[in-house]
Amino acid sequence: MVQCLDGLKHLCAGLLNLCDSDSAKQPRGLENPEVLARETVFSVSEIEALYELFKKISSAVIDDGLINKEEFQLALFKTNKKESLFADRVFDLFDTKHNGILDFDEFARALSVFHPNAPIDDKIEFSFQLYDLKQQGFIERQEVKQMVVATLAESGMNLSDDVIESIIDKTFEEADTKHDGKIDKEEWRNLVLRHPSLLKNMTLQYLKDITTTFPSFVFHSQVDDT
Amino acid sequence: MPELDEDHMMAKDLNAFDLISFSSGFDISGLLTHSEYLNCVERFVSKEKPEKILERVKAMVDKVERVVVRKDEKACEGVKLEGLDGNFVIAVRIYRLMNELVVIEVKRKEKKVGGGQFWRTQLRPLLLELALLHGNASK
Repeated sequence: MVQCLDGLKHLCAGLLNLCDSDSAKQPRGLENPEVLARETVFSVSEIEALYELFKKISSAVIDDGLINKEEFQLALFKTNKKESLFADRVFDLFDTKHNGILDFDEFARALSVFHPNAPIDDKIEFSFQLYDLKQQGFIERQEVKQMVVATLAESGMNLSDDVIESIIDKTFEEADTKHDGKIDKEEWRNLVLRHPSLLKNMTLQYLKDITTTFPSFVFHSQVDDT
Repeated sequence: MPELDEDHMMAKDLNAFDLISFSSGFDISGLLTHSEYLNCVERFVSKEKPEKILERVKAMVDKVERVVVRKDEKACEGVKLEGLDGNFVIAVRIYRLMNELVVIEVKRKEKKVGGGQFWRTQLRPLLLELALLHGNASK
Protein backbone atom coordinates (compact mmCIF):
# COMPACT_ATOMS: atom_id res chain seq x y z
CA MET A 1 0.00 0.00 0.00
CA VAL A 2 2.76 2.41 1.01
CA GLN A 3 4.76 1.40 -2.05
CA CYS A 4 1.78 2.30 -4.30
CA LEU A 5 1.54 5.73 -2.73
CA ASP A 6 5.28 6.26 -3.20
CA GLY A 7 4.95 5.22 -6.81
CA LEU A 8 2.13 7.71 -7.29
CA LYS A 9 4.23 10.43 -5.69
CA HIS A 10 7.09 9.76 -8.10
CA LEU A 11 4.68 9.75 -11.03
CA CYS A 12 3.23 13.11 -10.00
CA ALA A 13 6.65 14.61 -9.42
CA GLY A 14 7.70 13.38 -12.82
CA LEU A 15 4.67 14.98 -14.47
CA LEU A 16 5.28 18.26 -12.70
CA ASN A 17 8.84 18.30 -13.93
CA LEU A 18 7.61 17.80 -17.48
CA CYS A 19 5.26 20.76 -17.10
CA ASP A 20 8.04 22.97 -15.74
CA SER A 21 10.39 22.25 -18.60
CA ASP A 22 7.60 22.94 -21.11
CA SER A 23 7.02 26.42 -19.70
CA ALA A 24 10.72 27.09 -19.87
CA LYS A 25 10.55 26.55 -23.63
CA GLN A 26 7.69 29.06 -24.16
CA PRO A 27 8.46 32.31 -25.97
CA ARG A 28 10.25 34.73 -23.69
CA GLY A 29 7.97 37.14 -21.85
CA LEU A 30 4.31 36.63 -22.55
CA GLU A 31 3.15 33.61 -20.63
CA ASN A 32 -0.55 33.17 -19.94
CA PRO A 33 -2.23 36.05 -21.76
CA GLU A 34 -5.44 34.39 -20.60
CA VAL A 35 -4.73 35.30 -16.99
CA LEU A 36 -4.27 38.96 -17.81
CA ALA A 37 -7.29 38.88 -20.10
CA ARG A 38 -9.39 37.53 -17.25
CA GLU A 39 -8.20 40.14 -14.79
CA THR A 40 -8.37 43.19 -17.06
CA VAL A 41 -10.91 44.48 -19.59
CA PHE A 42 -8.69 43.36 -22.45
CA SER A 43 -9.33 40.30 -24.59
CA VAL A 44 -6.56 37.79 -25.23
CA SER A 45 -5.77 39.27 -28.66
CA GLU A 46 -5.74 42.76 -27.16
CA ILE A 47 -3.28 41.57 -24.52
CA GLU A 48 -1.08 40.15 -27.26
CA ALA A 49 -1.24 43.43 -29.19
CA LEU A 50 -0.48 45.34 -26.00
CA TYR A 51 2.54 43.12 -25.57
CA GLU A 52 3.83 44.21 -28.99
CA LEU A 53 3.55 47.82 -27.83
CA PHE A 54 5.25 46.94 -24.56
CA LYS A 55 8.17 45.30 -26.37
CA LYS A 56 8.61 48.38 -28.53
CA ILE A 57 8.63 50.76 -25.58
CA SER A 58 10.73 48.60 -23.27
CA SER A 59 13.53 48.10 -25.78
CA ALA A 60 14.01 51.79 -26.59
CA VAL A 61 16.92 52.41 -24.22
CA ILE A 62 17.78 49.10 -22.56
CA ASP A 63 16.52 45.93 -24.16
CA ASP A 64 15.65 44.10 -20.98
CA GLY A 65 11.92 43.51 -21.33
CA LEU A 66 11.14 46.20 -18.77
CA ILE A 67 10.16 49.86 -19.00
CA ASN A 68 12.26 52.23 -16.94
CA LYS A 69 11.33 55.85 -16.32
CA GLU A 70 13.38 57.15 -19.23
CA GLU A 71 11.73 54.76 -21.68
CA PHE A 72 8.34 55.77 -20.30
CA GLN A 73 9.09 59.46 -20.86
CA LEU A 74 10.35 58.68 -24.36
CA ALA A 75 7.17 56.83 -25.21
CA LEU A 76 4.96 59.60 -23.83
CA PHE A 77 6.73 62.68 -25.08
CA LYS A 78 8.93 61.26 -27.86
CA THR A 79 11.86 62.86 -26.05
CA ASN A 80 13.66 61.99 -22.85
CA LYS A 81 14.46 65.62 -22.19
CA LYS A 82 11.03 66.49 -20.93
CA GLU A 83 10.33 65.99 -17.30
CA SER A 84 6.93 66.35 -15.85
CA LEU A 85 5.62 66.25 -12.32
CA PHE A 86 2.64 64.39 -13.62
CA ALA A 87 4.42 61.85 -15.80
CA ASP A 88 6.37 60.90 -12.67
CA ARG A 89 3.12 60.50 -10.78
CA VAL A 90 1.60 58.38 -13.56
CA PHE A 91 4.70 56.18 -13.65
CA ASP A 92 4.52 55.69 -9.89
CA LEU A 93 0.90 54.64 -10.12
CA PHE A 94 1.70 52.14 -12.87
CA ASP A 95 4.59 50.81 -10.73
CA THR A 96 2.48 48.86 -8.25
CA LYS A 97 5.47 46.75 -7.20
CA HIS A 98 7.38 49.95 -6.33
CA ASN A 99 10.68 48.86 -7.83
CA GLY A 100 11.21 51.71 -10.28
CA ILE A 101 10.48 49.66 -13.40
CA LEU A 102 7.37 48.45 -15.18
CA ASP A 103 6.94 44.86 -16.23
CA PHE A 104 4.25 43.81 -18.67
CA ASP A 105 1.89 42.79 -15.91
CA GLU A 106 1.94 46.27 -14.34
CA PHE A 107 1.75 47.88 -17.79
CA ALA A 108 -1.32 45.93 -18.89
CA ARG A 109 -3.18 46.27 -15.61
CA ALA A 110 -2.64 50.03 -15.48
CA LEU A 111 -3.64 50.55 -19.12
CA SER A 112 -6.76 48.52 -18.50
CA VAL A 113 -8.06 51.41 -16.38
CA PHE A 114 -7.79 53.68 -19.44
CA HIS A 115 -9.83 51.42 -21.69
CA PRO A 116 -13.20 52.89 -22.71
CA ASN A 117 -14.93 49.86 -21.15
CA ALA A 118 -13.16 50.04 -17.79
CA PRO A 119 -15.45 50.67 -14.82
CA ILE A 120 -15.79 54.36 -14.07
CA ASP A 121 -15.01 53.67 -10.42
CA ASP A 122 -11.53 52.49 -11.42
CA LYS A 123 -11.01 55.69 -13.36
CA ILE A 124 -12.23 57.78 -10.45
CA GLU A 125 -9.90 55.93 -8.07
CA PHE A 126 -6.88 56.24 -10.36
CA SER A 127 -7.39 59.96 -10.98
CA PHE A 128 -7.86 60.64 -7.28
CA GLN A 129 -4.58 58.93 -6.49
CA LEU A 130 -2.92 60.85 -9.29
CA TYR A 131 -3.87 64.18 -7.80
CA ASP A 132 -3.23 63.15 -4.22
CA LEU A 133 0.43 64.09 -4.53
CA LYS A 134 1.39 63.40 -0.94
CA GLN A 135 -0.77 60.29 -0.83
CA GLN A 136 -2.59 61.35 2.29
CA GLY A 137 -6.01 60.15 1.19
CA PHE A 138 -7.21 63.65 0.40
CA ILE A 139 -6.33 66.46 -1.99
CA GLU A 140 -5.27 69.65 -0.26
CA ARG A 141 -5.69 73.14 -1.61
CA GLN A 142 -1.92 73.54 -1.62
CA GLU A 143 -1.52 70.43 -3.80
CA VAL A 144 -4.11 71.77 -6.25
CA LYS A 145 -2.26 75.05 -6.48
CA GLN A 146 1.03 73.25 -7.01
CA MET A 147 -0.43 71.26 -9.87
CA VAL A 148 -2.12 74.25 -11.50
CA VAL A 149 1.09 76.27 -11.36
CA ALA A 150 3.13 73.36 -12.76
CA THR A 151 0.65 72.86 -15.59
CA LEU A 152 0.64 76.52 -16.53
CA ALA A 153 4.43 76.65 -16.48
CA GLU A 154 4.63 73.58 -18.72
CA SER A 155 2.26 75.00 -21.28
CA GLY A 156 3.39 78.59 -21.37
CA MET A 157 -0.08 79.81 -20.44
CA ASN A 158 0.10 82.98 -18.38
CA LEU A 159 -2.22 83.71 -15.52
CA SER A 160 -1.65 86.02 -12.60
CA ASP A 161 -1.59 84.66 -9.07
CA ASP A 162 -4.89 86.44 -8.33
CA VAL A 163 -6.62 84.69 -11.16
CA ILE A 164 -5.17 81.33 -10.13
CA GLU A 165 -6.35 81.83 -6.55
CA SER A 166 -9.85 82.77 -7.75
CA ILE A 167 -10.10 79.71 -9.91
CA ILE A 168 -9.04 77.47 -7.05
CA ASP A 169 -11.46 79.20 -4.68
CA LYS A 170 -14.31 78.57 -7.08
CA THR A 171 -13.30 74.96 -7.51
CA PHE A 172 -13.11 74.31 -3.79
CA GLU A 173 -16.41 76.07 -3.22
CA GLU A 174 -18.01 73.55 -5.49
CA ALA A 175 -16.01 70.46 -4.59
CA ASP A 176 -15.34 70.80 -0.85
CA THR A 177 -18.86 70.15 0.38
CA LYS A 178 -17.61 69.28 3.87
CA HIS A 179 -15.80 72.63 4.09
CA ASP A 180 -12.61 71.26 5.61
CA GLY A 181 -10.16 72.67 3.07
CA LYS A 182 -9.55 69.33 1.41
CA ILE A 183 -11.17 67.13 -1.17
CA ASP A 184 -11.64 63.55 -0.06
CA LYS A 185 -12.50 60.56 -2.22
CA GLU A 186 -16.23 60.98 -1.83
CA GLU A 187 -16.12 64.68 -2.72
CA TRP A 188 -13.91 63.89 -5.71
CA ARG A 189 -16.34 61.26 -6.88
CA ASN A 190 -19.27 63.68 -6.64
CA LEU A 191 -17.37 66.38 -8.49
CA VAL A 192 -16.40 64.06 -11.30
CA LEU A 193 -19.88 62.65 -11.70
CA ARG A 194 -21.12 66.21 -12.12
CA HIS A 195 -18.28 67.09 -14.50
CA PRO A 196 -17.43 63.96 -16.52
CA SER A 197 -15.00 65.94 -18.68
CA LEU A 198 -12.63 65.90 -15.71
CA LEU A 199 -11.98 62.25 -16.45
CA LYS A 200 -11.28 62.67 -20.14
CA ASN A 201 -7.60 61.86 -19.68
CA MET A 202 -8.59 58.60 -18.06
CA THR A 203 -9.83 57.10 -21.32
CA LEU A 204 -7.76 56.27 -24.37
CA GLN A 205 -10.18 55.58 -27.22
CA TYR A 206 -7.31 54.09 -29.22
CA LEU A 207 -7.12 51.17 -26.81
CA LYS A 208 -10.24 49.83 -28.51
CA ASP A 209 -8.31 49.67 -31.78
CA ILE A 210 -5.11 48.26 -30.36
CA THR A 211 -5.32 45.04 -32.32
CA THR A 212 -5.27 46.93 -35.60
CA THR A 213 -2.48 49.26 -34.53
CA PHE A 214 -0.27 46.48 -33.25
CA PRO A 215 -1.04 43.26 -35.03
CA SER A 216 0.78 40.35 -33.54
CA PHE A 217 0.80 37.92 -36.47
CA VAL A 218 4.01 36.30 -35.38
CA PHE A 219 2.78 35.49 -31.91
CA HIS A 220 -0.51 34.15 -33.20
CA SER A 221 1.23 31.65 -35.45
CA GLN A 222 3.32 30.43 -32.54
CA VAL A 223 0.22 29.82 -30.47
CA ASP A 224 -1.47 28.02 -33.37
CA ASP A 225 1.48 25.68 -33.79
CA THR A 226 1.32 24.28 -30.27
CA MET B 1 -24.61 54.01 -13.81
CA PRO B 2 -24.15 57.50 -15.23
CA GLU B 3 -22.81 57.63 -18.74
CA LEU B 4 -19.35 58.95 -19.19
CA ASP B 5 -19.80 61.55 -21.86
CA GLU B 6 -16.58 63.54 -21.96
CA ASP B 7 -17.14 64.59 -25.53
CA HIS B 8 -20.13 66.71 -24.70
CA MET B 9 -18.65 70.08 -23.97
CA MET B 10 -20.94 72.16 -21.86
CA ALA B 11 -20.57 75.87 -22.04
CA LYS B 12 -19.26 76.16 -18.50
CA ASP B 13 -16.17 77.77 -17.06
CA LEU B 14 -13.03 75.72 -16.62
CA ASN B 15 -12.17 74.79 -13.05
CA ALA B 16 -8.79 74.07 -11.49
CA PHE B 17 -8.92 70.37 -12.33
CA ASP B 18 -9.75 71.16 -15.97
CA LEU B 19 -6.56 73.21 -16.06
CA ILE B 20 -4.56 70.42 -14.45
CA SER B 21 -5.89 67.91 -16.97
CA PHE B 22 -4.30 70.04 -19.67
CA SER B 23 -0.88 68.91 -18.54
CA SER B 24 0.80 66.79 -21.14
CA GLY B 25 2.08 64.56 -18.37
CA PHE B 26 -1.46 63.47 -17.65
CA ASP B 27 -2.19 62.71 -21.25
CA ILE B 28 -0.81 59.25 -21.88
CA SER B 29 -2.23 58.96 -25.37
CA GLY B 30 1.34 59.54 -26.53
CA LEU B 31 1.95 55.89 -25.74
CA LEU B 32 -0.26 54.86 -28.63
CA THR B 33 0.38 57.42 -31.32
CA HIS B 34 1.24 56.41 -34.84
CA SER B 35 4.82 57.22 -35.75
CA GLU B 36 4.04 58.86 -39.09
CA TYR B 37 2.03 61.64 -37.49
CA LEU B 38 2.76 64.01 -34.69
CA ASN B 39 0.03 64.81 -32.19
CA CYS B 40 0.55 68.10 -30.42
CA VAL B 41 -1.41 70.39 -28.18
CA GLU B 42 -0.75 74.01 -27.40
CA ARG B 43 -2.80 76.40 -25.34
CA PHE B 44 -2.94 80.15 -25.01
CA VAL B 45 -4.73 82.49 -22.65
CA SER B 46 -6.52 85.37 -24.28
CA LYS B 47 -8.71 88.29 -23.37
CA GLU B 48 -10.36 88.38 -26.75
CA LYS B 49 -13.93 87.22 -27.26
CA PRO B 50 -14.28 83.69 -28.64
CA GLU B 51 -16.28 84.91 -31.66
CA LYS B 52 -13.58 87.39 -32.56
CA ILE B 53 -10.84 84.79 -32.26
CA LEU B 54 -12.64 82.34 -34.52
CA GLU B 55 -13.47 85.11 -37.00
CA ARG B 56 -9.81 86.06 -37.24
CA VAL B 57 -8.85 82.42 -37.78
CA LYS B 58 -11.43 81.96 -40.52
CA ALA B 59 -10.41 85.20 -42.21
CA MET B 60 -6.80 84.08 -42.25
CA VAL B 61 -7.63 80.65 -43.65
CA ASP B 62 -9.70 82.28 -46.42
CA LYS B 63 -6.51 83.73 -47.76
CA VAL B 64 -4.57 80.48 -47.63
CA GLU B 65 -4.83 77.94 -50.41
CA ARG B 66 -5.46 74.25 -49.78
CA VAL B 67 -6.80 74.75 -46.24
CA VAL B 68 -10.47 74.64 -45.26
CA VAL B 69 -12.43 75.42 -42.12
CA ARG B 70 -15.11 73.11 -40.78
CA LYS B 71 -17.33 73.20 -37.72
CA ASP B 72 -15.98 71.23 -34.78
CA GLU B 73 -18.85 69.12 -33.46
CA LYS B 74 -17.07 68.31 -30.25
CA ALA B 75 -16.78 71.85 -28.98
CA CYS B 76 -19.19 74.61 -28.12
CA GLU B 77 -16.86 77.12 -29.68
CA GLY B 78 -14.37 75.67 -32.08
CA VAL B 79 -13.38 74.96 -35.63
CA LYS B 80 -11.43 72.33 -37.48
CA LEU B 81 -8.83 73.27 -40.04
CA GLU B 82 -7.92 70.69 -42.64
CA GLY B 83 -5.05 70.72 -45.02
CA LEU B 84 -6.49 69.49 -48.32
CA ASP B 85 -3.24 67.72 -49.09
CA GLY B 86 -3.80 65.50 -46.08
CA ASN B 87 -0.87 66.95 -44.14
CA PHE B 88 -2.70 68.08 -41.06
CA VAL B 89 -5.88 68.43 -39.13
CA ILE B 90 -6.06 71.16 -36.50
CA ALA B 91 -8.81 71.64 -33.96
CA VAL B 92 -9.05 75.11 -32.45
CA ARG B 93 -11.31 75.22 -29.39
CA ILE B 94 -12.11 78.05 -27.02
CA TYR B 95 -12.90 77.47 -23.37
CA ARG B 96 -14.05 80.12 -20.97
CA LEU B 97 -11.92 80.56 -17.87
CA MET B 98 -13.18 83.43 -15.78
CA ASN B 99 -13.92 87.12 -16.05
CA GLU B 100 -13.15 87.73 -19.68
CA LEU B 101 -10.36 85.23 -19.94
CA VAL B 102 -10.48 82.33 -22.33
CA VAL B 103 -8.17 79.46 -23.13
CA ILE B 104 -7.51 78.78 -26.80
CA GLU B 105 -6.68 75.12 -27.23
CA VAL B 106 -5.05 73.91 -30.45
CA LYS B 107 -4.78 70.18 -31.08
CA ARG B 108 -2.82 69.22 -34.15
CA LYS B 109 -2.31 65.99 -35.95
CA GLU B 110 0.27 66.61 -38.62
CA LYS B 111 2.55 64.56 -40.83
CA LYS B 112 6.04 64.57 -39.39
CA VAL B 113 7.43 65.61 -42.76
CA GLY B 114 5.91 68.80 -44.08
CA GLY B 115 2.79 68.85 -41.94
CA GLY B 116 3.76 71.67 -39.63
CA GLN B 117 4.27 74.54 -41.98
CA PHE B 118 0.78 76.02 -41.85
CA TRP B 119 0.85 75.97 -38.07
CA ARG B 120 4.29 77.51 -37.79
CA THR B 121 3.98 80.21 -40.41
CA GLN B 122 0.29 81.15 -40.26
CA LEU B 123 -1.81 79.94 -37.37
CA ARG B 124 0.61 80.15 -34.47
CA PRO B 125 1.72 83.73 -35.20
CA LEU B 126 -1.93 84.77 -35.41
CA LEU B 127 -2.75 83.17 -32.07
CA LEU B 128 0.27 84.73 -30.43
CA GLU B 129 -1.10 88.09 -31.54
CA LEU B 130 -4.39 87.32 -29.84
CA ALA B 131 -2.86 85.81 -26.71
CA LEU B 132 -2.37 87.45 -23.37
CA LEU B 133 1.36 87.45 -23.02
CA HIS B 134 1.61 88.68 -19.47
CA GLY B 135 -0.03 87.30 -16.40
CA ASN B 136 -1.67 90.57 -15.48
CA ALA B 137 -5.33 90.20 -16.29
CA SER B 138 -6.06 93.84 -15.45
CA LYS B 139 -9.75 94.56 -15.59
